[in-house]
Amino acid sequence: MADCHIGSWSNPSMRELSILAFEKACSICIDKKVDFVLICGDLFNTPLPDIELLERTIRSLQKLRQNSIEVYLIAGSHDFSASNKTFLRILSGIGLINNATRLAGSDSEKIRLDFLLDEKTGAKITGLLGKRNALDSELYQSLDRSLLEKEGGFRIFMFHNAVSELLPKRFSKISGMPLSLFPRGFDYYAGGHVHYVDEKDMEGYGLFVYPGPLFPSGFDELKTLVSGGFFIANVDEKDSGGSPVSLERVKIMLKNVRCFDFDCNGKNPEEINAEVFSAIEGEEFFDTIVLMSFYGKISGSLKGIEFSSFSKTAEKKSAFFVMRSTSKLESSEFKEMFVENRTPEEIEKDIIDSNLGKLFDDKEKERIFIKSLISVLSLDKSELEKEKQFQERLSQNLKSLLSD
Amino acid sequence: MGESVGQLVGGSFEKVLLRVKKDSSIQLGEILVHETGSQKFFLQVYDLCYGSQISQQNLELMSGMELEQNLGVNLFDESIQVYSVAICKNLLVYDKLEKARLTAKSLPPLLSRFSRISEKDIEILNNPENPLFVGFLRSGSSKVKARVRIDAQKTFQHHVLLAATTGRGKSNLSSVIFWNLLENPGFGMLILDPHDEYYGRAGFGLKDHPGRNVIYFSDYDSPAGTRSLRINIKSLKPKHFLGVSEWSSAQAEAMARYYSRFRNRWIEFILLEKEQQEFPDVQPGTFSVIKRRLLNLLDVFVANGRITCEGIFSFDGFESTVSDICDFIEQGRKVIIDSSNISSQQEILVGSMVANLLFSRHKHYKKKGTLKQKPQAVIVLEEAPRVLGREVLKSGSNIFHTIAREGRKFKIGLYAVTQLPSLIPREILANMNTKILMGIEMKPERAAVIESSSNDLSTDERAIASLGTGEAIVSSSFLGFAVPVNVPLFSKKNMAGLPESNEKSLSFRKEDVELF
Repeated sequence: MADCHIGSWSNPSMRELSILAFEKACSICIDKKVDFVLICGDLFNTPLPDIELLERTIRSLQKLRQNSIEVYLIAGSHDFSASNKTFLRILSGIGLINNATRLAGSDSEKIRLDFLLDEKTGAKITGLLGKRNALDSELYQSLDRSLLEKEGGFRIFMFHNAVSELLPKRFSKISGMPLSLFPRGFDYYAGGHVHYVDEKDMEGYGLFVYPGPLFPSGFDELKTLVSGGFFIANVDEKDSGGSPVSLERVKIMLKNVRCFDFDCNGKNPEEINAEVFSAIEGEEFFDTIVLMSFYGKISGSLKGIEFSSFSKTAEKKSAFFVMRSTSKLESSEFKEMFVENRTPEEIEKDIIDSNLGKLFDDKEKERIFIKSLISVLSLDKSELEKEKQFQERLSQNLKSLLSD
Repeated sequence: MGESVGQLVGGSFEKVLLRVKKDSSIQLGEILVHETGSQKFFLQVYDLCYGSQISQQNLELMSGMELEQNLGVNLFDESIQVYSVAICKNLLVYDKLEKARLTAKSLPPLLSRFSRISEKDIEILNNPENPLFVGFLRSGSSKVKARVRIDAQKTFQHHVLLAATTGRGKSNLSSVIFWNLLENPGFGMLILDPHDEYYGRAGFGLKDHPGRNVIYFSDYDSPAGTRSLRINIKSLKPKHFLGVSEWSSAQAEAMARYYSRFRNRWIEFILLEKEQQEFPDVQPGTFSVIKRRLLNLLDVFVANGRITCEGIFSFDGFESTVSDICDFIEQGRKVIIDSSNISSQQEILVGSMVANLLFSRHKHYKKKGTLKQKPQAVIVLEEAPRVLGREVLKSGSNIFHTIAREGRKFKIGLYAVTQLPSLIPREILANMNTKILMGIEMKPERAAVIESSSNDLSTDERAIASLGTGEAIVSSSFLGFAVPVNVPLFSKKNMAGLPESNEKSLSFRKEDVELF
């Protein structure tokens, strides 16, 4: 499994689902008597999660431990903190998880990874952590692949990034890591970070698997994925020529999801209101997440659309949570203006790329530096932190970055 | 002014005669300079002949005395009596007051002394806004220290043709040009490399540039950090096949109708012979031919109702390869596609996919008014007549032809390399405003380039034929005259500016990698 994002969603009811999904996934693993669990990054949504969520996570991990199910984990982009502070260290310290990123030696120019041996199965597990803004590409560039490729036995490589060759077209704006940076010939490549479900046998490498998030973490994900889930991999020890791994998809369906798409093109607010009410009034939403997507250019003002009444009506019909998306809705009242239809990350990337070469001669080094700086400056204050502590942490991270 | 090597003794505007100073050994192609008042005259030697104060009859008599009677003949004041005459053409005039290059319309004064062109002379002539180094100025066979730079923006916006017989240093020159472009974020490039010679997989190459701005796609044993050249078949559209293979109008129409009906599954349906009954007016034979060609082009085969892919095209994954390539080009990065392991048709197909998407994006940016902010895109085509040849274009236009005609308006330029420029139609050659000529042995090939050149090369035919390895003539509407250059060898030593940091590895702290 990957991308559990425990603690994601600002709405408390939805946030609860993120931890419920993890609890349910652990229970299923126990019921299905799996040998071990791989978590490919982003267990929590932040490096320092809420204490209550942490407690419940620990309880689930303890249950796995009581059932002799080892958990192998790599840090993901959300687990990573420039100051290296993360609760994963505590979970690892008390023996609930095993960090799959283990260096064979001490500080060095080449990254030489060690394998963790799962004693129950003999599987050899290793992996590399994921960092924000694809900063982990530097780690992959320096990875000693030949050392990993020489190892015999059933090998698993855990990663937390987008592989450019695997990315679907809709994710084409995400910067991926080339496949050639991965060690070849592993039996199973367990991936996270990109929130979609995929499995592909890559020639010269092996089976790459993205289980998707354990629970969707936004409107679009709820709409496209409906539910989260994970894979249970069964390994056939007989050599049948192909991949020895067969996959079973396990869906974590916590709530029903009902999506309405409203084409508002050329309609006035009254017509839209009537259309929405007529669509939802005939429905019952028992314990269902209701998604309403509005698109098109309306005639009249957006103010006339009774968005809050739509939500209230759906809630009265026992909807668990109502969300709406109006990003593709335009009003003819407003003068058309040029707005770049791109994400802040894409705009940020373009600005960085077009200004490279002004700080350092080595553009790649400069790119990494800028991304690291953005990463440090975008740290959030933890709920457990006081203002002063946060400032100190920020300042310490900045100093550490600038001194490197 | 440097040392005088000749003095103007007569002739006409087209044929200026210079008496050559003894032992100055002036060569064909040399550029000579004379400064008078605020003006500098530039002449180029295009022929050499003998001159003598002794009549031809007496010279023949002297020769007879030596040959037949073995009488030693010594000339009184030999250096004054016999000499060489250089026949020159007017290149241009530089006016120091106006600081401008002027077309030569007058003659330098009679008996004016000429010296060889110097580094300073080329600097005043050649100071473009957006300079791109192409080589050192060559005067005859000797290399002048001066660097020749062309205006990269103007040059690539108006296409470049590199013509030469094999073995004259085309790849070396291209590597030098690309290396220098790598430093410039104002240019995004697509290099289709059928010989896998630019990246430097096994030795020094563009990968070693300190800017680390090269993205390399290969279908064979991709080195670490490079991309796999694999493309999802669903990204293919019928228009991508134009120019790749010859299609009859019936076949092209059938493909277009299948695409229109089944969108990104059109190839799958044709290969599996699905839904043919929906098109009763299309002959079954037409489908068979399309299917056979697609199987061959895409390296796929069908067995038991299943399609198996063996080459770079796949039904699974790799959906964003082409848009990734275009993104990189838009970011001013240089994309090399190693096509050494795929067929020529597949190479053109991949190029066609990228060029089509790039062209439609640039058209869109122009409409939006954002094209100015985008880098100039350059598409490098080796063996250009494969897509720009007269015969290919007879069966219909293709995206490269469209770019050759309209690319300038949309900031897309071609860098076309060929041994056989005569196969490219004259109107396309004329659209290529910069031509780099290396040795061309065949007369019809030289003629094709000379006729379509921006500068007057009518007297340079002999010089073009005799260009040695690494010697080139750059003819461009953005240069005052066709400039002879000597291209440096593309080597680590010659490509200056390799910082040491490029060779150093980063060092990692254990705690940063393990994190917890």
